[in-house]
Amino acid sequence: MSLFSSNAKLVLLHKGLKALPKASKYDFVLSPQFYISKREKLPIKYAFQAKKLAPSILEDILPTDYPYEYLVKKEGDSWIFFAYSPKEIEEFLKSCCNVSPNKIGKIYFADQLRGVLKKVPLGVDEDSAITLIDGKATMVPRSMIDSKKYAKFSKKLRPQKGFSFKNSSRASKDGTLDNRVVALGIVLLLLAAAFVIDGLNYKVELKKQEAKLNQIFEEYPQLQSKLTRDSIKNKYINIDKKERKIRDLIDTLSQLTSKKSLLDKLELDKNRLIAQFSVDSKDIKKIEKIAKDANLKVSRLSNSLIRVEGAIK
Amino acid sequence: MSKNIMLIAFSLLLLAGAVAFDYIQKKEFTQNLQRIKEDNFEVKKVASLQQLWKAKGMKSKIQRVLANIRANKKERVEFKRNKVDIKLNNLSDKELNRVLTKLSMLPIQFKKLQIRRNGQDFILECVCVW
Repeated sequence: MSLFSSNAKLVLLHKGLKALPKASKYDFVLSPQFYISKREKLPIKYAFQAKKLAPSILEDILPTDYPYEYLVKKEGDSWIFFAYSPKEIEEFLKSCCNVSPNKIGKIYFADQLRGVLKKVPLGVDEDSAITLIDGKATMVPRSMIDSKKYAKFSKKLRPQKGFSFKNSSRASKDGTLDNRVVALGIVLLLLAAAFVIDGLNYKVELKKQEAKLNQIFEEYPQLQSKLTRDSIKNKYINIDKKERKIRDLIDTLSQLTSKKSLLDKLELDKNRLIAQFSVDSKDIKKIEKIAKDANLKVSRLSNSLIRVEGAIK
Repeated sequence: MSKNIMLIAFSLLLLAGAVAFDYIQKKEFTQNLQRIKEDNFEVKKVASLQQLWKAKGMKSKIQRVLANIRANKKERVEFKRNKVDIKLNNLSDKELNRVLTKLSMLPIQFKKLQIRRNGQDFILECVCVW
């Protein structure tokens, strides 16, 4: 069985119908009692253009008791325009066979059985049949037809092209669930599930990160408090800064020493590192320049003595 | 109200709830992740600073630095808990350079540092804590 073929029960819909065999879905071949058709030769290429013209072409022959849906079909040079009333069909099916609109699948028109009807009339019930009159499918009493042979309606007569039935309202009003609504509901629920999963992922990830932090806190329990952390941090950052500066200054001052520049003394006080150098008078300017370039404060004590100061803070 | 409308309304409500849940979790995650990262970084930084400036075994390391200095040049090397008081006499410029460089490489705090030249030799006095 093809995946694309219809599983719905095919039924010839006519006003003499009393009951339907049980099925979850029905496809209907509408007898001419349920639609009006008109054949026109029009220079139109596309179906959507023809469909737009359908109401004006059919308006003179349509009764005004129901709203209509229009369908078109091209045959050779001509277009066949169909008009049917979903509401009328729904009401009839409800009253005769208690079939709700959501059970209606595809619909076909008796005119689509022209191939069969050309050969033999189609028996509808004991009294009536469908035959072609002036090329149009027409329902007539059997007594008006000469033929003794009638075609019996069966699923083999399913026309090639079916049309989707347009419910008189998008959501059926009889309290049953529409398949499209259920599908939309499922899509919305899946979307909601995706959002919930995404949210849960964030929650799980956050818990993982918190667990990692707690593990670090277990290693350093005294650092759990922000106040303690800040106080320890400030203490050690100050020490770190000061001691790095002292080492940088010792390194810089050591670069000033040479055979012609001897360190006399070096002393560390609270905020400064002070050094005194005995320098060859020829090189004194050069040493002064190096010290100044290293942002050290230089003062000349005599022709061969200079004092160099570096701030620690 | 028909079942169809109820189904759609319920689904939409559920979706709105799910979107709100996701939004709240995302916001909470972003806010807390920032705090966790900051705490993590701070704890590691404080711990590493603490480990650096409160290192253990400093006494033996200082003793190793001074091991190459002849005993008669060590006027004073006194350890008291986390403190050392050093006075070295008659150091050559190379010895002074080596001792000072090696001490500088240790994570100790210089509380006192004094160098004086006496002819070609140097006197080094320092007090360090850790």
